[in-house]
Amino acid sequence: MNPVSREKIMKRLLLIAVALSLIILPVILIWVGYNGSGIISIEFLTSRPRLFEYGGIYPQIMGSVYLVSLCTLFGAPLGIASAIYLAEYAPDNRITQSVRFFTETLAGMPSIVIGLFGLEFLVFYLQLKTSLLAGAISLSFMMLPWTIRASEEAIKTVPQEYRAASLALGATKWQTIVNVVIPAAMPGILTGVLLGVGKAVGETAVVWLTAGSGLEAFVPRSLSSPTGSLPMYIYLLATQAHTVEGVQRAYGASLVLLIMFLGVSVSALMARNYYLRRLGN
Amino acid sequence: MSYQINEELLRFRPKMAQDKVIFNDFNLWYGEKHALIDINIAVKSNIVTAFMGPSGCGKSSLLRGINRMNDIIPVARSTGEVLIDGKNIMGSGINVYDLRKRVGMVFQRPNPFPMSIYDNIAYAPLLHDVAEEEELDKIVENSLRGAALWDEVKDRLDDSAFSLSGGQQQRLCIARALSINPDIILMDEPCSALDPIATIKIEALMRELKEKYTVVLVTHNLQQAARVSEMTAFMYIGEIIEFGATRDIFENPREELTEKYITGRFG
Amino acid sequence: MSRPLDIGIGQIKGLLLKMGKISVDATRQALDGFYKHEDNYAEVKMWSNTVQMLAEEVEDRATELIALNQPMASDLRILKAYIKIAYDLERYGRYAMDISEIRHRIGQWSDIDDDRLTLKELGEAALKVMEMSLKMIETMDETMIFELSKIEASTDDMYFENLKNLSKCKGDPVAIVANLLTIRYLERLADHGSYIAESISYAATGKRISIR
Repeated sequence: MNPVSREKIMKRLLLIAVALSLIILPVILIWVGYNGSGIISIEFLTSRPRLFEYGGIYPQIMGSVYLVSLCTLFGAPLGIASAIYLAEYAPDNRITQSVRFFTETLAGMPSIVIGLFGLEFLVFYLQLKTSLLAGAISLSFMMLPWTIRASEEAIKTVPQEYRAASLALGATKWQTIVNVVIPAAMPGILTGVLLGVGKAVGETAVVWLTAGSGLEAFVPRSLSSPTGSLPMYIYLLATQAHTVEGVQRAYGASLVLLIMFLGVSVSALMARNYYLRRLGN
Repeated sequence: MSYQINEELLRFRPKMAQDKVIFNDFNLWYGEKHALIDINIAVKSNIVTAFMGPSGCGKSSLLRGINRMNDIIPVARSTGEVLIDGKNIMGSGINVYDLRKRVGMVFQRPNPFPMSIYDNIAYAPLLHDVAEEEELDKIVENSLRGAALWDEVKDRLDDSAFSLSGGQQQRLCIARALSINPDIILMDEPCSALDPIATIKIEALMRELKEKYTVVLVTHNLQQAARVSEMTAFMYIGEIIEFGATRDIFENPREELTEKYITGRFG
Repeated sequence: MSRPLDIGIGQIKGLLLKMGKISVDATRQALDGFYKHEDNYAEVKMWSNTVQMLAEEVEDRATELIALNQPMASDLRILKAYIKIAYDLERYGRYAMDISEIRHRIGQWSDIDDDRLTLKELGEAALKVMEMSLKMIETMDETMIFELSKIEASTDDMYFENLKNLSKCKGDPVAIVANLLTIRYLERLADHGSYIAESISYAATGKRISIR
């Protein structure tokens, strides 16, 4: 075969590969939308589940919102602070390298293991019970490595010249970080945080073990209340429902979850663009 | 009718100027690398002093010795004295942040902060709490005027600094350096990223700046050193090979190494 | 590795040496004409014009090299010197023409028989200075300036000596005028030789010295 025709064939093969991978995403979206949109109604969104496969998903929506917000509240500051330390202060030695390796590993750790740890340590040992607090903390374990990694990367890509300019004006290192580096790294940090939030929104195994069974009929009233969430609800109904209504509700909840996820992504994009504009790019 | 032509007119001899910065047996190491070796020179006030030499000769390190910016490199250590107005800035009682408020610095590439034009200039005065709100406007205006940028940006102070051209950005950085009201301005190859027109503007600015400030310039552009400086130091592998009046260095250098470098017969 | 500037400087040096050779030959020819009462003005003038043309060429090329290469230190000094030397060599050619023009303008004369007059020695000394100045351009040997300046000083002495003697001698007035002008031109030729020596000395050492 001559190189020219080989070139043509390879080009087509690559095209097929990209078409296949690109087609899966819309197929899922359409599939979920098609199957889920029928059940969506005000009642479905505002009432609580009944008799396992009947009723609405209001507590689950709110549960997911609470879990994710609380998890972000714990995870984001901790993650950003760790990223600042790693990027700006940590000496370049064995320990730092180990910490970095550990973070990377944590990012790829199976969520069921994190869930198990949350269950043993938070739920049983610290006696937080299966609760909103235990779930949110465990979820923030999921979120942390993603936030740290992306934020550290964002802070490191802030040009060294900014730091030098600020230091040369008599600023201290901390003043430089707060006033110059963090604002400049904000788009990247936001992306990092929302990457973590995205991970947390869809997480099933962790909330199953630490937050609640999924079919809770009430919006959590305190940090120690068991909390339902959309992924758990979907999991239960998809695997254990016996009726058409059950399956329909699983699809409906999936659609809501997707929309929430999309909402997070879009607001992430908007926030990012806002900061980029403010930085003048 | 009689004409009097004195030596000063024929050829610049900066003997009137005061010693502003004096290096006494200054040595600098980066780890094992001896970056500056036994530096003994005096930089005079109110003139432009140029440091030139091939890449890696230590000219930027020497410049950074004046505002102790070498401190931010963890492996750097030094011996000897650097006196500014007779006071050793390497001494123990020196607050390095106060020192840097007296020494403005301009870098190789224009590096305005990702903020508005106004905020770039207001950054340091706000940081050091030196200005009230209404004074701040005055500082911003004066700094921008000092850098010959005011007329070009006065109507768009809230625009991003990145909306300026490269040459304007560099003048913004000069204005930012002026905002802390320094006596010394260090310029580290300030035109190396600029086009010829922008370069000419910065060079004209250097001539103005030396009226009020002591200007120290690092450049690899021989013609630039010849155009704007009164004194030139030629450096090679960490040592000062020759230091003297710029005209002498470029017309009739004493050292063969200098001659070789400036005529391009190097290495 | 030779720099583009070296090639340009080498070419200009070649032009200067060519100018020098032509003007020395032209001066010799003009003096021969003077001694032998021959009118060779046309030919000498042609050589002089050639030298003038070459001088303009040197000036153009040197200016261009300075503008394009922005030379420094010895390079700059050499080019500055070359521009000045081109003018001096142009004067060499011009004085040669002036000498041959005397016979052409004022016609025949009968030689003065007075052995106090040393025009021939003066002519030889002036030519010696000119040749030495060319040697200095070629070798850049600034030490030759000392010997050159001694001979140049002797041409000055001979000039004033001849001037005094001419004013006192009796003979064909046409011959006196012709001799007078010629010694004057020879003295000027030697002067320009010393200017060239000074330029070379400056280019080589960076120090301006004056032997005048």
